[in-house]
Amino acid sequence: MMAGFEALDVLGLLLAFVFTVLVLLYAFGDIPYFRLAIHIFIGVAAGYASAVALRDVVYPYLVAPALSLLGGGTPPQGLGWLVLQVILVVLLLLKLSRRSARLGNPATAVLVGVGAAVAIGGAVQGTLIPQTMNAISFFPQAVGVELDNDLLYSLALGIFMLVGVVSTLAYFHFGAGKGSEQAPQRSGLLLFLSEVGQLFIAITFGVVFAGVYLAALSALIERLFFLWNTLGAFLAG
Amino acid sequence: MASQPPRNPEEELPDWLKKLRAEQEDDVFGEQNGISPFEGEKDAPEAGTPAEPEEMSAPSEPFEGADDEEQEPPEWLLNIRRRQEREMARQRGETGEPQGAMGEGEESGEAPLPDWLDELRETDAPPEGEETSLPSKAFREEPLPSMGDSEDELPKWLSGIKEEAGDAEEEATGAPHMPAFTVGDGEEELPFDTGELPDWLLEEKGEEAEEIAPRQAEGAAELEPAELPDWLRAMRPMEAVTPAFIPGEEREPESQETVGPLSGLHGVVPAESEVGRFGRPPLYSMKLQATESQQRHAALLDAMLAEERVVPQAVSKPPSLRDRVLHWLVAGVLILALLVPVLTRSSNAPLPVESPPMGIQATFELIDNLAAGSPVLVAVEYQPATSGELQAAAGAVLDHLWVKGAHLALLSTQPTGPALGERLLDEVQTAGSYTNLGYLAGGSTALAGFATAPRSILSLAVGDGSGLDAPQLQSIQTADDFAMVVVLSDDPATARDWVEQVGTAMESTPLVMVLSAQAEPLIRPYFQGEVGLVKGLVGGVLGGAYYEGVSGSRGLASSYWDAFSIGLSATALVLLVGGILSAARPEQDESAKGKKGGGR
Repeated sequence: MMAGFEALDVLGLLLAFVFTVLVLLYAFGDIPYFRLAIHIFIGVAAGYASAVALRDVVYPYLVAPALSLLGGGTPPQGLGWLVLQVILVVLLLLKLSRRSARLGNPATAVLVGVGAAVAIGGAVQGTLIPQTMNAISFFPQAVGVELDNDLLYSLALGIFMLVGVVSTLAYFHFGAGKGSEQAPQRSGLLLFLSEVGQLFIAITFGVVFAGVYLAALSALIERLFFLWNTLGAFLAG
Repeated sequence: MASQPPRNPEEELPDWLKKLRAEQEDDVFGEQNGISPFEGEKDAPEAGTPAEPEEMSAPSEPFEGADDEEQEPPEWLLNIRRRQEREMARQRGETGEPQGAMGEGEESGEAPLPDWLDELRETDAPPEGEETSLPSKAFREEPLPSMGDSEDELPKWLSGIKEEAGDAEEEATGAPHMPAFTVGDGEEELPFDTGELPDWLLEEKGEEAEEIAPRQAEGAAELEPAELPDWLRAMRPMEAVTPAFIPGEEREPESQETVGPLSGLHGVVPAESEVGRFGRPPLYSMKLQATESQQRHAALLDAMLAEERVVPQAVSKPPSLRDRVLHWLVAGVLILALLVPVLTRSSNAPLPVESPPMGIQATFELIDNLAAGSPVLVAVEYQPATSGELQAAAGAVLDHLWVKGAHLALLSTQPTGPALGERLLDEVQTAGSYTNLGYLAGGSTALAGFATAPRSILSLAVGDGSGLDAPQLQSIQTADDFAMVVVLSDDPATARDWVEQVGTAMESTPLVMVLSAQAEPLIRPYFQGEVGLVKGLVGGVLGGAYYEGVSGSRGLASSYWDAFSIGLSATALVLLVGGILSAARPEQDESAKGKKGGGR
């Protein structure tokens, strides 16, 4: 039995080594070996996700209670919930056919409506209000206190934050005044603020790109260590 | 069936009625010995009416010969007749009516009337050529003229009341008393003979008439036309606003029905003629009436849409030899910079320990203050592609948790999360207890439910079979019952879902984020500030190295640190050299600009 597990581990290591090399071949371009590795990876990932969904969702929430009901037992979540779940599942499956797709709209509406309500409520409570308060909090709380280095630093940081927030929001304001003869144009102040906002947005995108590069660099380092360790293990026998 | 003899109506009358009739006959014909005009009219046979039985007409026999000269009428009736004859003669003299008009009623076959009644009818009849709205029969049956023909017919007490009533009415209304009807050209038909009025009364009547006429004219002039309010004017029917017939406009001849029961009527609603008319409908112009400003805006919008429809063609120009060399040179430098520390397994670069970032320091302090056996929820929310980075970043954190004796509960909203969590724990040096709660389907909606009622959400989830029923997790009723929630994520959207749905539902439980370097910049604002919902933040290999340096452990981050440092240095060197070379060859940029401009 242990030999079987060890064989699977060895096979897994070998497959991981081969597919890592195939992916790294992308350095030579979009070659067929790279495509083969990507297609296999997508297929395995989708199959694994489906297997997990069947095991962790469909079976415990739908199949097992139905079997329990057919066997004379009582579903854990109650008969009403089971019937409701079955109805929604059936309606959602009707989306597969173009003729009966309209019958699946109620189930889709439940999904979209509940999801939108949850997302909006969370965004207001968790993002909009806290981020607004955080942007304000960089200004010194006390007024009239003696200015020291910390207070000057906090004041400068607050002004920087104010300029960054206002100019970034101004960049995404696309309203324009109506000219008499010319095409609608943004006002001069709005153009200036949007130019400043572009600078802050560029810095933000640069930071995000640097993070993506760091993540890719970390993944490459981890794969290089894996390849070297695996190769060393095979060479060592 | 035997025929019955004709019934005598007189026999059917009750006794009291017979007695009453006898008394009336005695009163009317016996004592006064007068003639009732109605009796005479009643006795006259009418066309089409059956003759009355002989018994019923018997009492009126003595009066049927009202015209009989043998019975001389009373003196007062003769006076009335004479006066009426004089009046008739006077009117005939004015209108020129022939004398023979008296016998028209008899010639027409009508029932014979008494002479005085015929004369009265002719007197009350309108002159020729003047129309009257009253039917002739109704006019003849009007009792008022006969009642007021003579002052003699009224008792004195009634005449006085009548005169007083007329004067009172005139005073109350302010208008002269108008007679019930007039005959002739405005000439009043007075209920009494003017010849009998005294002179002073006639003079007063003439003066009064002269005073009334100017007052009526003044009153008519003073009357102003009524002004309708706007709201009432708006409610007028269209017929009131638009006259059916405009003067000067030729009116369409109304159709006249020629057949059917409506034959001869005008203005009948046409049925067949209007319905039967068919014709081509009117043509309306479909040209849009747009102003110049609207046309300018439409042109601007059309230009914008036209630009969107233009798909830029991909330029498939093969890279030049110089570009190929540069490409391989940059790749070679970076790979060599990484391979050297990997192949040599060097660890020469010291781990960063001095002045760690606030997020790492806060995370360390939070974990360090945990009590032994505290339940800690670990959300594995990253993809296999970033597992290497997350393992290096989270290894030291999980090792620290197990060192403090925390019980880990793994949970993921991604199907690959539970397996990645198991693999992650295998890399942790220190062994500890954990429970894999498995896959939580539903995304952010499921997270909102888990934050408030995790047992309801996970009641049927399968994993290792224990779930929240594990001894270390039996006290968990909400997400706030965990001692700490650690989220391992490489996606800023997923991390934000945890902040918005779970972080807002917890009051005392700290939320710690261990993130990939690509997600850290977008989640950091949730950590900074006074309202930070994230209490600890560790980002990427750099964060893991810092944490290992602070905690004094040696994990994956330490292994990767040399390669990571050299790789970052090489990257910075390549960027610097590339920038210098680009600045030293400005002509290439100008030529590129020229090509770009020419391509437009």
